[in-house]
Amino acid sequence: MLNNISLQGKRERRVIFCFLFFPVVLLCLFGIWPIVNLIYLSFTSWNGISESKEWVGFANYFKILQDPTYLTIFKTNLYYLVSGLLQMVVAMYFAIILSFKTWGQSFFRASFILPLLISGVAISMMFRLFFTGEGAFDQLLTFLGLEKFIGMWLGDPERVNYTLAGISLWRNIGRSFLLYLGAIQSIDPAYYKVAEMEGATFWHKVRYIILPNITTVLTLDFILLTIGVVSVFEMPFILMNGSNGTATVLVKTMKLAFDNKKFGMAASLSVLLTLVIALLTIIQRYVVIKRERRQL
Amino acid sequence: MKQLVFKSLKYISLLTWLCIICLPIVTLFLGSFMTHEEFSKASSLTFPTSFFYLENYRIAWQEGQMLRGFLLTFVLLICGVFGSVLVGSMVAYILARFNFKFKKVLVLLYFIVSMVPMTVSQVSTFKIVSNLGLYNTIWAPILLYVGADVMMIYIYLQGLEKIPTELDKVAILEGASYFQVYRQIILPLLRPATGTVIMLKVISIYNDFYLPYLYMPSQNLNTIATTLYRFVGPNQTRWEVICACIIISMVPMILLYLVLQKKIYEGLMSGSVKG
Repeated sequence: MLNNISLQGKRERRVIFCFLFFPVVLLCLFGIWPIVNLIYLSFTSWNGISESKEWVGFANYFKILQDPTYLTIFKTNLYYLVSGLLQMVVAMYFAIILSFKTWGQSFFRASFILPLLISGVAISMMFRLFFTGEGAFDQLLTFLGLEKFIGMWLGDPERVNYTLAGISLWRNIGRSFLLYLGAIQSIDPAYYKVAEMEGATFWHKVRYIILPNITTVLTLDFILLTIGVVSVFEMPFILMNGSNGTATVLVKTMKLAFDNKKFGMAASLSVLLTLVIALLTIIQRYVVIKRERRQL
Repeated sequence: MKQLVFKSLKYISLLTWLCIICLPIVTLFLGSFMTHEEFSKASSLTFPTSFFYLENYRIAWQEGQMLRGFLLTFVLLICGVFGSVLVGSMVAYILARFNFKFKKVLVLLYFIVSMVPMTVSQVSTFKIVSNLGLYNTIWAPILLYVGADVMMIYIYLQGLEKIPTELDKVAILEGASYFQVYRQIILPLLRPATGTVIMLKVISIYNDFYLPYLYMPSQNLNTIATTLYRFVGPNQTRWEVICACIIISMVPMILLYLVLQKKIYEGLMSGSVKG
């Protein structure tokens, strides 16, 4: 019997080793080590090439936190927060509509998900064409009698961030839509039946059945959204190369590192970015746990 | 009467959003069938003279070397997805079913990595990848897709919660090895989770621009995303060809979606994310 148990233990250790060895190597090499290294680099003035890395303490951090140009970069990300919140509202509206009987239901659903399937490069190039002078968008405005709004959608620094945030909304709405639709579909139809017998209106159903049932997904989507907002990168990078005041924090980080060879500064900026994300995640977890406790 | 107003509002809003989604794509589609002169003269939203003018598609396909891009993307997809499924299910199986010395540490490490978005840490990953001699090889993005993105482990852990432990205990008593339990009981029962992982991975790898851009600058190692990006540079003046190029790059994912539409919704509705 004793022999049996030790044999069991041996087999257990063997399977644990076999299953974890390769994944843990990958995790350390490409997950943990870069993060540790990032923190180390953030305290140096490394240029990405030289062998020696000069230790500068918190100098990079002070520079970033004191220089107003860096703070304005953080503001650029706020455009995407606003468009993200708008995205949640619009997605919710359409998810509710399309979970009830509608003519052309699956066609509309598919078309709302469509942008999610197109790559960032394709979307960027597409909108570069769409927003050119006298391009399709300006034509549309003329058609709608809104000529006075025509302008340089991508060339005007006052306007370009709104344009980019709009493109981000266009692209990401599918994700929110899909999440909400899934949650609404998993609500037991019996609830609606009972509610109908009680004479509930459409609004009552939304307010008392749908909304309480999708709060978890809403929170999840909000977490994804905030992380997405902090790490906006592709659109401003591909479309504008970060020029014209469109550089988000991550675009700036990449420019610092790979164009200006200031790896130390870039690393500090990355660490700050990560801290923001970690803080947001922790706050949100705290809120979710608190609410779940209250529900119990 | 009120019903009618509501109904028309509903359809008007749906159609409006449909237009917003489709208009940019339609512009592209129309432009891709125009000759160069037509395109420069035409104000965007006009029909081309003929939808059988396929010259742009030929140029895009040949000069852009899109076939090569598709093949490389396909290789990355297969390796990335297969690796993620394997690593995710194995790690989740061990974490959910066994107790061992460093388990808490490992869970913490995975949590930390999941907090830092992959793009953010590239500043320091870059040096590690090039020190390993992986720069300008397809292994750089593949290993990063599998090793640095850990979301699949959480999806599998969620799936494992639903599989009763009694099932594997009985199998062990019957004389099965742990490998057999994993292979013959756990993996088949995790199929819904695998579906979710595959779907998310395919979308993210196919559309990924940044890792191939950063790690595979070689002309021979263009994925479909970087093919497009690099094709646009020297061809700025030939927008009609670029249009065709973009349209071609969209086709595989849209076809895949249409084929798998039913399955995707079933997976979604079966409550992978319950409200």
